[in-house]
Amino acid sequence: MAVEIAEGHGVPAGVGSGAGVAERPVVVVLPRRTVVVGLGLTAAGAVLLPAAVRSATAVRFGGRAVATGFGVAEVLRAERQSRLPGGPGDGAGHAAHGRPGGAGGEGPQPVNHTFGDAVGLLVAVRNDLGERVPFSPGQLRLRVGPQALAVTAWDTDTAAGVLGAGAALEFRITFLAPSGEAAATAVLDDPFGEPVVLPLPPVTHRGGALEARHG
Amino acid sequence: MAEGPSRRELLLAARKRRDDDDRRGSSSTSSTSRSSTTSRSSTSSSTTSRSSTSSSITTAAPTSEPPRGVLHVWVNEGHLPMVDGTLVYHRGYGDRLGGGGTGPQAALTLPTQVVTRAGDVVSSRLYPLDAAPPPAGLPAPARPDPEHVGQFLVRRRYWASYLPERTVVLETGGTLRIRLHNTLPAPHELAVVGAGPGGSTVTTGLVDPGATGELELPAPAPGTYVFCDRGNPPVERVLGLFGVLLVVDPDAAWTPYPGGPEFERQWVWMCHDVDPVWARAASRGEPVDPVRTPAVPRYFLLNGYSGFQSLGVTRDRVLNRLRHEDTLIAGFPRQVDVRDFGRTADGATAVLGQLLRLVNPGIVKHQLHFHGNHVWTVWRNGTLFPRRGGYLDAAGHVVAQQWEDTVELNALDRKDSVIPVKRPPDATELVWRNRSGPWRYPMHCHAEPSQTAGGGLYPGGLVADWTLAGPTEGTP
Repeated sequence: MAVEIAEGHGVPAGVGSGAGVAERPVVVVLPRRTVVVGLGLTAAGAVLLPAAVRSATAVRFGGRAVATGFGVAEVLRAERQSRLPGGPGDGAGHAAHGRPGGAGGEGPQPVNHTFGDAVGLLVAVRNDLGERVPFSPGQLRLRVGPQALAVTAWDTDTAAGVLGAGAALEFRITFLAPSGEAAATAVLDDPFGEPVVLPLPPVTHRGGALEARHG
Repeated sequence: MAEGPSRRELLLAARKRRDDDDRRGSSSTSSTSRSSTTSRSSTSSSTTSRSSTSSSITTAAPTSEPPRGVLHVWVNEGHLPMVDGTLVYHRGYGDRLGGGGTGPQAALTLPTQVVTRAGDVVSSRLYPLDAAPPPAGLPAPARPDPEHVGQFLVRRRYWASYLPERTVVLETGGTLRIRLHNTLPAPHELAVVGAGPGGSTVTTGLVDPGATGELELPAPAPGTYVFCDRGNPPVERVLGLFGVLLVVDPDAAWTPYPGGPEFERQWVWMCHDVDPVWARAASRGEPVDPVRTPAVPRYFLLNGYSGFQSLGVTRDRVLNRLRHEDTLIAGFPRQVDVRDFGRTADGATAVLGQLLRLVNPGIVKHQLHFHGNHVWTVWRNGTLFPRRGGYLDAAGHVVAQQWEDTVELNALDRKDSVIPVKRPPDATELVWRNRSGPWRYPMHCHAEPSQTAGGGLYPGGLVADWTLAGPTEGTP
């Protein structure tokens, strides 16, 4: 069973080819961007392979698995980190290349007015159908804030491709989110059914800052 | 040029296949009497099964070997990842039976094809077939322009042009013969809009599920045409059933039509818009009523890509290279007045611009805005604009050759403009003389929603750039 990665078709920034993923270190360093789940969980000592396709029994789903049009999906782990030094939980005590925080005390914010936190998810999906199905991590959205704004992925370690019959896939994906606000839910846009809400597990707040020199 | 022989080999291989077919007497269907606007459909007795995301049907496979010079096209379906990773259902014309899913195996886009005057069908991204491929899409100049510091004379009738997927080139004197295989559970067609006698449309007619239809089109007047499925307009086109036909005189391959501007190389830009709501309904086999459910596109593509993918700045080096070869305009600076279509220095060198064939098979009225250079618009929908004595047409469009920094492109419009690739007028002498590398300029659409993806991701929409090559890039 293998993900048949779509060859020759462009993938979002941060999305690697299947082969490339396997060769990367767990910490995926990108220009100004880092897949924070990989960073965090590695620091915590967890054994975490890069995005990988496994037999369905090799992926351990927890108690939050949700049925989809093709099988099941679950957010296994979730982590949040400030992007800039001086944000909540950073402890650096100073701001670098950011604009002052808002009234909510959320710390310095990126000068380009993008969200100040990054939320990383470890997600598992399984194809229970008897045939291949297309799958793309970009189908996942994060709903944040009181208006439940749908946020598109910032980065992921897995390319769009095809999930074989009976195969399961773990992948990491990050989103930007407003500082200090608890992410509500993730939503999987299922091309074979209605969008599916994936509840988040307890979100780990990681110290430090993701981008030391964001401009 | 390393790729030159391979293209010649392609041509020879195509001719060998044609000759082999002839020897085998396999052109059985070619004896069928056809008119220039033949439309017929027949169900094949040879079938292969194929599962579909929206249905499971029995589909046709060709019953005989291809007759001479026939382009086989399959109507396929599958999902394509958009710039934000969202999978959206598409239909498309492919060069083989598609396998569903995503990416190339779905066969949703037709690789570039050339139908020669002699009747060969050659799969080639480059045209003319025997011309030199511009390295990374950038034509190298002939030599420095002795009269203008830092500028160049370009090679005349030398460089081939990379053409994007979904393009079919038909040489004048040749005939486009298409056999359309419908793999989907509803009837579909392939129609070349306005290419028939008197501007009529030539079509395969509706081809039933699992059946094949044929189209035969003697080359019409040189120019740019759209082919598409006109079913439930514009729904089938928006779902992806479209392409572009270039009719070219091979004896004047660097001029788009008689009286038109000679160019150094040409670029084909196809605008397209994607509505996931329509796509989701179509994927389930549900009817899409474009009146009751008006289109709300959420993705805007240029030659099939959006945003950073369109700009060729992904981690996929192959995609980046392809974008530079066939979409992202590039040239060395030349002191040119394209209003007079340039000037000839001698037989082999000249000062010419590059031709942009702008085509909108989509439904959004686009306004393509170029930074750095204005473009000189010369042709629209079959009409070569006059140099003098212009007028307004019934719809209020200017019918005259004109400078534009924003080119309006309505749905189904075909428009040709010449980009001079010249030193920007506002570049002072001091700045110009101190260039140290290429200058890149954006092209974006002034229909601002089309600069987004997924309802707000900016700038994730219909964007491109063009490059005025620097003094250090392969300068002779």
